[in-house]
Amino acid sequence: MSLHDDLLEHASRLATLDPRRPKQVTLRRAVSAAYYALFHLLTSAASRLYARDSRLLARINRTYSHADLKKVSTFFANDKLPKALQSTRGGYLTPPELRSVATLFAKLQQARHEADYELTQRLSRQDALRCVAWAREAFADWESVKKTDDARLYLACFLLWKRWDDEPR
Amino acid sequence: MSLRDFWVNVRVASGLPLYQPVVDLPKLDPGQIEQNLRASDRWLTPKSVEGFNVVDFSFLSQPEIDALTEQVRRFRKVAFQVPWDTAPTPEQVEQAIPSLVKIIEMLEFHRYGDAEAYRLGRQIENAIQSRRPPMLVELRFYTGPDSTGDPGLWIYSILEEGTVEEPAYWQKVKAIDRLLDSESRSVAPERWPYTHIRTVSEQAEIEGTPVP
Repeated sequence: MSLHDDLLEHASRLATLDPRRPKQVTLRRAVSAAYYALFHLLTSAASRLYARDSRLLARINRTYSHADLKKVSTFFANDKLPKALQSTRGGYLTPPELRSVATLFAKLQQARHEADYELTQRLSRQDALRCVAWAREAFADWESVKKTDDARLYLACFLLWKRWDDEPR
Repeated sequence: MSLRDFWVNVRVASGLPLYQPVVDLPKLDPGQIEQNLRASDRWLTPKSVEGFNVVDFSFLSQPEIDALTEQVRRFRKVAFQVPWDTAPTPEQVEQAIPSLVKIIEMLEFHRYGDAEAYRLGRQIENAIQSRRPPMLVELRFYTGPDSTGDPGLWIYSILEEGTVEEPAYWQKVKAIDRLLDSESRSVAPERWPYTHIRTVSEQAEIEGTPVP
């Protein structure tokens, strides 16, 4: 199994541990693993736009920033594109499955941030289970849209959105 | 002066803990609020309701606006009778407590973390009123910047107990998510909606109140 599939299974197991009184640490790690499952699914797909060799893929994987992926996801979740990609003929409509992936990515990233750093608030098992469900949903939606140009554009934006969002030269 | 000023002034006057996350607070108990207020009379000043402006509350129903306006009027009437250099009399304190308690109850500090959350949360609740699923017991809201600095709106849904294994339960949860997400984007398009869920028993355990 791939790292992202393993992480999703790991998240699912953690979210259902301790049936009566789940430990906060377990729930927090479940949310974090659910986010990283989706993060690695998308970044490994993005890296394969540029290379095949596994060592080179690993090097490219290290270049992605969580904030950039959130920014790109915000574009696609809101039917928007970086400026240089915008058509003069009209707006952009993100395919529904890709919009779902982008939206769930942004939500999972925030949930992971809260799980790892927001220690004043308690996490519920329902929240952890739902994050796993979100990741599963994003995996399924990605599967149905990944071979489209819209999906490839989404992935390419991970590294290029700033350049494409600058004022046209 | 704004809704935010009014909110902060009443919040300070209420004597409630300022830094406890709103989503973990037990429901406000009028008796406990009264007890807090009796512990000190420093709140009996016009400053406690300063910033109130009826036009800031257009998202409330007319009866709610009228009730809030009336309680603020009653509170101010007593507060303005207290000379600036003299402590209020016990009678003045007793006269002012019911109005302030009602104002605090109306602002529902245990459900809305800040003034903006109150304004947006009430609008979202109004918008979903006719479609509100029966399993959605309570909603709680707060606003702030998210992990990347973008403005966010956090919505906590407190739900009836459900069985995780039951597919229908998760379908219902998903429907609630979609409903809140869509209304939130319509009411506050500039904010990312971040939804959380808790069951009634999980919420009670977090609050430290008896599990129903």
